[in-house]
Amino acid sequence: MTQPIETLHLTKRFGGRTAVDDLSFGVPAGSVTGFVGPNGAGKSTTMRMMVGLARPDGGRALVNGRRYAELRRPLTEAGALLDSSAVHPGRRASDHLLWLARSNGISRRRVEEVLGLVGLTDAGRRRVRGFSLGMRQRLGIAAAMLGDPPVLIFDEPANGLDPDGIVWLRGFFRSLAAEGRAVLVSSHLMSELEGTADRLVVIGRGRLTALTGVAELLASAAGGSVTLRTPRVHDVMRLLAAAGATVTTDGPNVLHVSGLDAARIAGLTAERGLPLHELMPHRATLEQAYMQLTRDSVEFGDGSAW
Amino acid sequence: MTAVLRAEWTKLRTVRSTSWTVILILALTVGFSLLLASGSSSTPPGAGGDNDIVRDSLVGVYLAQFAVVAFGVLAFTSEYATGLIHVTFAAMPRRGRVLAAKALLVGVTVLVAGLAATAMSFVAGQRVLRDNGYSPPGYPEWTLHEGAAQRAVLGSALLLAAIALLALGIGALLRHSAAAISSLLALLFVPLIFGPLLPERTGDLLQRATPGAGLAVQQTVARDDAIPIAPWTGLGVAFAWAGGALLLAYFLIRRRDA
Repeated sequence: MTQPIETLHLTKRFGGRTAVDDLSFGVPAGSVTGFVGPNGAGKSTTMRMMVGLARPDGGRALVNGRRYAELRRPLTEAGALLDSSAVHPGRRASDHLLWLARSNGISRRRVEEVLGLVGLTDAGRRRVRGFSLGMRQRLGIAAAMLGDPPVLIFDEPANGLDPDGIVWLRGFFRSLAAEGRAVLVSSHLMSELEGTADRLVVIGRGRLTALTGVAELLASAAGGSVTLRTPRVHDVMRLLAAAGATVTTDGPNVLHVSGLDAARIAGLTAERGLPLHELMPHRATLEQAYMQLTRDSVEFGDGSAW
Repeated sequence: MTAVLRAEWTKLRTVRSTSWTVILILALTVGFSLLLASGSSSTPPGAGGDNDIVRDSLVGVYLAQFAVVAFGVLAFTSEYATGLIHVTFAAMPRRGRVLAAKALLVGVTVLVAGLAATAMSFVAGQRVLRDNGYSPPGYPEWTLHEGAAQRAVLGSALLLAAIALLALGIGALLRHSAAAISSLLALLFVPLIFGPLLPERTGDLLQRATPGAGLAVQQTVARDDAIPIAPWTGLGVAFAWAGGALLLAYFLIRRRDA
């Protein structure tokens, strides 16, 4: 089945450098897909090819099964925010949205609607020159939403937003996915996508590194540890070490355990009747899981180093 | 195409620079023409001479070209400077149509403003010149009923439109405001300034082959300093430049990454 966004062997070269290299992935409807990789990995170039701004040297990028350039009213099929500074500073925010609406036969009423959607109703008549970075980011999101599209593409949307704005953005992306839209969000910071993305497309040097669900990635990430408190520190330490765990301590009655999960620890101590006052598992953060993933891919991917 | 036209028209009318351009075309054309006319006199009144008083009353068009060059160039380069061009081409992937819509709107805007400017400049300029001694019998009275006067007034406005289209095309090709504006000013004014200093044949060729040849459309007297080309032919040269630049821009803009 075709997905709302698909890239098939997508390739782009700039001079001798391959910016995007045989990249194939899909973005399903009803989810937020994080598009992650270090700066310069090819995320923006890929997104620019999705909306027809750059021409692939090989392969295809499809939106709703078609090449973007073939879409007759593209804003009603895919909305994109690629660069929030891309507005004429002397134009009023509502006029910026109005010309975009006109270009795709979208009603003038919709301009007010999307301004309301991003909380810019009161600033609509102001010239963009006076907008903060965060307000420009919101204006760009309003522009992407103009055609009420089933597909949304955001390049580093959190840049320049204050903490309130980032919280708002997460909720906004979740609600877009809940409405059944396909949302692709790029970021070079994994932590920005924590709690937002359902799926991850990870790229490095233009190539696909991993295509995974966030839940699976977190579950598979090693390095989870457990902190516990007990009045019988030495007994518990000996017991868990004998069971194969690595145990360290950094305070009275406190132990840090890795190599055993919380359930196993609770079971072992209960068998011996050793009391636990606290048992606290630490999950790996998405950031840690990602670091581990990319480290692995570098080690396994770059065979020449061996 | 109507959607693209409406979008580009909305863009054009929602920035201040458009109204500034219209005001500048009027002010530079009329103001500079009247300034020169009021500083020139023929004595004794009514005596003859070889001044081209039709051209003299439209001399402000030279300066208006500056405003028109900036207007045409910025119609594209301002979008490249901010990155707005990405938003434009993402909303309207048929880029050739965007170029066509911009050309139509910029061309018509300049033509209308230019025609108002040249008509006012001619009428007011003739009056000032007549009062300064450029009067019958030496100098016949010129009115807008005469063919040569109509050609000069309409032709000058058309020339401004051609320059605007040339500027739009060069702006789309070069994508940088400063580069586009300076190459256009060189193209327009170098032949005017250095043409007369070159060996005659080279100088004449330079004046005939560059867009400035369009100014010949204002000429009604064969003087030494006239541009050596027939009036409408000269205007044709200017439009050929505009057409060439737009055609080249059309092919490049569709092929290039935005």
